Amino acid sequence: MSSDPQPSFSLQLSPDVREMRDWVHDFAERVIRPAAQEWDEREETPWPVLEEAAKIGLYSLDFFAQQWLEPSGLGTAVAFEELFWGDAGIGLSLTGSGLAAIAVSGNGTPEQIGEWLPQMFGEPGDVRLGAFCSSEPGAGSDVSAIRTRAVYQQASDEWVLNGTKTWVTNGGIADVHVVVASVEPALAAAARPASSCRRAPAGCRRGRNSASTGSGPRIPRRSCSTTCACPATAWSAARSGWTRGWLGSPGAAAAASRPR
Amino acid sequence: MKTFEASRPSVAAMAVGVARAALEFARDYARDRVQFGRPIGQHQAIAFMLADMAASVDAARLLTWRAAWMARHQVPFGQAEGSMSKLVAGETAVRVTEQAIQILGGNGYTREYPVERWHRDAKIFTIFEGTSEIQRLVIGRAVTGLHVT
Repeated sequence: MSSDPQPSFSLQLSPDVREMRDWVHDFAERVIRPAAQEWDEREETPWPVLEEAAKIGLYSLDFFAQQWLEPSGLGTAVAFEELFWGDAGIGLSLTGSGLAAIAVSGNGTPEQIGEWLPQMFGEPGDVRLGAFCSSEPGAGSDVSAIRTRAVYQQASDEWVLNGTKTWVTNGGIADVHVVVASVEPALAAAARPASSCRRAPAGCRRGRNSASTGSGPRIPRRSCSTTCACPATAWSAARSGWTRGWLGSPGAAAAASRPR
Repeated sequence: MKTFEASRPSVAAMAVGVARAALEFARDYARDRVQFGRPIGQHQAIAFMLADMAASVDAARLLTWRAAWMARHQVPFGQAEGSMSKLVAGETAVRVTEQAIQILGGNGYTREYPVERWHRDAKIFTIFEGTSEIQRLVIGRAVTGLHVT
């Protein structure tokens, strides 16, 4: 390692990144490109392609984590460019779990990360997805307008999510949904760390799949109406006084961003 | 929205991939397709379009790699460099895929060729993960130091 406190920017990709780029490109050229037109017309999630990618370790928590932590910082950018060179719709299917994973890994406790991230990817033969639920019918660019609430119920030691999400990549078919919700009223009342929830909560209703112009059709972007109860566990962000949180359903809670 | 800040260069890289696919396809087509007695790539009208496309794709990638590098090394986004990468890459993908259709002419407009699909796919990159307008808002605030609304 250099002792230079300011690391220098270089366009020279490391041998590891070059090797990874060629490996991803090969998959994009051999598997993704030839499948693109079919899945564009079918407007469905390309499960067989996900399965192929899982088989070689490309659709895996390990691969995405490795690129995210790649020392130069260019790993993820290089990998994604190659995947989307193959096809954007299939590319979004292969990377759609990433947003949910980033939300949990950026804000969750080590226990939450260890529990939920593997469930967002599964393994060969048992591929799984994660979904990040942020937009609402009345809250698109204006994220601060979200109305979904997470309310703590002391009697049952559960958090109840109530709201409607839309444009959810992998919505309704993911094993873990990370849901952006406000816990403000709950914090005022409960004044204790908030919570998380586990899979498949009763009361989560899947909405309609929106047909769209481009790459959307190959991944469900469903409206998802949610009223569900989630057993409470520790929620890291509430402890530091943040009042806006990620909560997950069927999967999990992650944490929070600061109030504006 | 920390999640979006961290993911912007990654989304920009996706858009660069779509744009590059269209650039390469249009370039190969322009070398092969003969009109007026020569490959259409020999006509300035087409070659200049390909020149703009190639320069735009490289510019978008450079902004993307800069932002990705800054994020990894915890260099603060003082000029909204993450948003710059997403803005330029998204707009580039839409423009370059549209130019690719133009180079392919009638063929580009049909579903017999992939470029019209790439154009449909590209449009989402100026909308999700922060619209181009939201990116300009973030960049505009960084550049002016004012609370632009």
